[in-house]
Amino acid sequence: MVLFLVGSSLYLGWTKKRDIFPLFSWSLFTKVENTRVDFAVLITHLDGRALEAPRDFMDCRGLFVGAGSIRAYYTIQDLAAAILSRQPKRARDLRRLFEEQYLKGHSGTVRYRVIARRFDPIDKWRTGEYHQVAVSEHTKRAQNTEKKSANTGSSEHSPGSAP
Amino acid sequence: MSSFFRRVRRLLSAPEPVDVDGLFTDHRRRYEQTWVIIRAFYAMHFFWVHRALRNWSEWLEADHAIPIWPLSVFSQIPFPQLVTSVILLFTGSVVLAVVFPHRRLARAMLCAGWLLFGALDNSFGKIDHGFHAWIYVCLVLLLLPNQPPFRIRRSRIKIQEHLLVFATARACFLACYTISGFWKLRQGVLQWIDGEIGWLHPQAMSYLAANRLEQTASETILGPWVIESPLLSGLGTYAGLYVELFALLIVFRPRLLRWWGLSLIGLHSGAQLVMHIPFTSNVMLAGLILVAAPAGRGRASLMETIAQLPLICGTSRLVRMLATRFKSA
Repeated sequence: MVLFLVGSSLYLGWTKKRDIFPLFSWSLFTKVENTRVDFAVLITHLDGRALEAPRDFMDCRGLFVGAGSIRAYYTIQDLAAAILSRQPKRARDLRRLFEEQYLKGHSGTVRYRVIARRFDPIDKWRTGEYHQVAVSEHTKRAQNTEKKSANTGSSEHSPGSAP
Repeated sequence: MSSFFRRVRRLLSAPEPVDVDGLFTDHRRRYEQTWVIIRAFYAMHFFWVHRALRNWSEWLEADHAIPIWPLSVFSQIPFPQLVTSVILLFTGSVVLAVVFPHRRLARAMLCAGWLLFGALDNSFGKIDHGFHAWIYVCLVLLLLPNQPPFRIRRSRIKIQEHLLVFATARACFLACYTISGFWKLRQGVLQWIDGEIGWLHPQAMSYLAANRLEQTASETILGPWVIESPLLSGLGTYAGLYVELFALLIVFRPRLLRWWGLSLIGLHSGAQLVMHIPFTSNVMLAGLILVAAPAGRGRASLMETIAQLPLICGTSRLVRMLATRFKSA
């Protein structure tokens, strides 16, 4: 059994499949990312009003139940990947999951932007600065959600970030 | 094949004085102790039942879940009914395993309950890995003799069988850490070749902590210290890698089992204080099957225990071997 467990984990790790529940590659925190490239959600409008500066969803702990949750973080990664790889059904499912499970807690309309970002983790931790590129923009209404627009590839920088 | 495994075991074990006096009495004593641990293991499942009950109402409303295997097999059933069925099945299987831990059927029911409950809990966008080791231990414990304790106590073979299954459960638990350590070491070497900071670099923990704290926009008590201090970061990096990488070897060195259990608990406590990563499930399991369960026979001094540590034991063996060859030459 130990040999099976070790063998399956090595297979999953080598083939980059990572998870076939309950088997797992056990590749946890393996790569030390010197430069991180990931996706994030910025809240741009609340209740129809534009925020002075877009706020990182993960930083909105008082507003949304999923803010700060690592599960929400991975859902955002999957959502952005589905949008970029043009998988509309998967993107729709993941957006619904994100909005209903993690973007809840605020009763009004919420408009948010999915972005791709690149940063040095220690620099970002010290200064908060990073490069970003918009992936898409969505609106979550109180009852039903509707996609407002999608602009893949437009580039911009966060306030105060180095170009 | 068995002689091959015997040779491997001898190679991986640390030198221990052979003491056959009272060996079977010791086996019997260890059987009694491990049986209590196994019963406690099943009783601790009520903690997970409680967690399931806490999430029940929230899951009932969650019609946006993306069920994973084996729950996806039942995707034609409406999700709220599926949630209720899984929670009731899991609760029932835990009760059965706690009342009849000596019955294989009850233990098998718990395995099925775990697979469904684990799948349910992980059907919300990301698979967490807190339940995996519990499921592995449950699956290994399926192999325990299907007899009540009063029958097992009469048979030395059954007692041996029981102890072997328990040791296998420990090995499966520890193997997860060794595999994790192996990937870190491999990636560390690759990143070192590329001139990047990886697991072989003392600053690895600084980067990991900063990454994690940025991912979840969270703050921790020790996070800022580890990010800014190369000394603390180096200590965390190398200690973590050592404890993980050699975990499986400890199965062959029973004197170190408790120490390793405490080290793993320390590792997870450090991860919590630095990176806000709780691994409560594995802390519970390490405490139960490594720290609380019986370890080696007799008493050993601190120096004897240290001499069994991986790398130290190997180095001293190598030195002894070279000295013997040098003398004979």
